[in-house]
Amino acid sequence: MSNHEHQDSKHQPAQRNEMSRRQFLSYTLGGTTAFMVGGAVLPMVRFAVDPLLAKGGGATLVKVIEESKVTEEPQEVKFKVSQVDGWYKSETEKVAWISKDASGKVFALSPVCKHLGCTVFWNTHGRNEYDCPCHDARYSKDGKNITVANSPLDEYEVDIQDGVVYLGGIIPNTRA
Amino acid sequence: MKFSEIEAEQWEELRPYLDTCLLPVTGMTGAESPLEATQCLEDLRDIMDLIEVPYRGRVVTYPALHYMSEPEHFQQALSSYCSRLKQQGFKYIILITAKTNVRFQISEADLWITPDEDGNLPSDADINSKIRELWHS
Ligand code: FES
Repeated sequence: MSNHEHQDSKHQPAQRNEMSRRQFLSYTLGGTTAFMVGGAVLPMVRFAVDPLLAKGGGATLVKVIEESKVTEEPQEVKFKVSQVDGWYKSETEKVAWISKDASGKVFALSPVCKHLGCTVFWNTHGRNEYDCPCHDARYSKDGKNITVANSPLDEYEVDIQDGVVYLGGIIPNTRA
Repeated sequence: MKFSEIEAEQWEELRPYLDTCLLPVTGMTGAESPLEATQCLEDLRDIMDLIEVPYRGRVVTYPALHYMSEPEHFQQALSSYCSRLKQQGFKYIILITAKTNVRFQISEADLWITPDEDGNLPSDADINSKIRELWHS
């Protein structure tokens, strides 16, 4: 085993983020203060969504699925990572779509649409593509942008140890 | 995304894409203790997460209506807020609450997202099909 800190995400009930104080205040004040996670600001449309790429490296790896269960058909996996926001520590649920390519290499895509950040799904229209419910962006199985969005879906760092797939931080797409 | 995340210089560019308004209704009456009020807000946040996260590129969350008056008055007020939101350009309005007793008939709104009678949250799949249906209507 490496010196990565592994977390087992299985057998935990689905749980939403703990409300951070800033989020909470935004409601108690009637929403007059914005909560901006990690200082992320809304990007311009033409620059698409860039979800905290800088945080990709060095993220904790989380166990998500056995390698033998990964197929060429993408599957949705959910896992939790802890996040520190100022003094408040919270758990965030993340989603990845994981699959193997023709050569058997496992890769995991982030479902955050690069247009304006909605969540894409695999194969809703039977076209073997990811598609976005918001403005119909489409992406190939490798995450390559086909319409609407200007850049490909991000990937998660993948690490395979002892037959188990671990996911880490978000990295730019390496396949499209 | 939340109304307050939108920068002034981006609004015109984003406007055509952000055609749906999410109006949260906390449904408090003033009889809540501080702990109960916290619970109301947390419950509201939990159900709002089901829409705000996956559809953030098309849905603008407005500030919540926290307190509720007598049902008829409240229903009227809610209807008029919805019709003004539509007048200023939203094509769709989604009302959302974590309370089980707040679902009023509001013809100006397009969809209500609420827990079921036992307080269980709708599933992601449920919401997904309702929203896709709404946008394709
Ligand atoms: S957010 Fe616009 S197409 Fe995905």
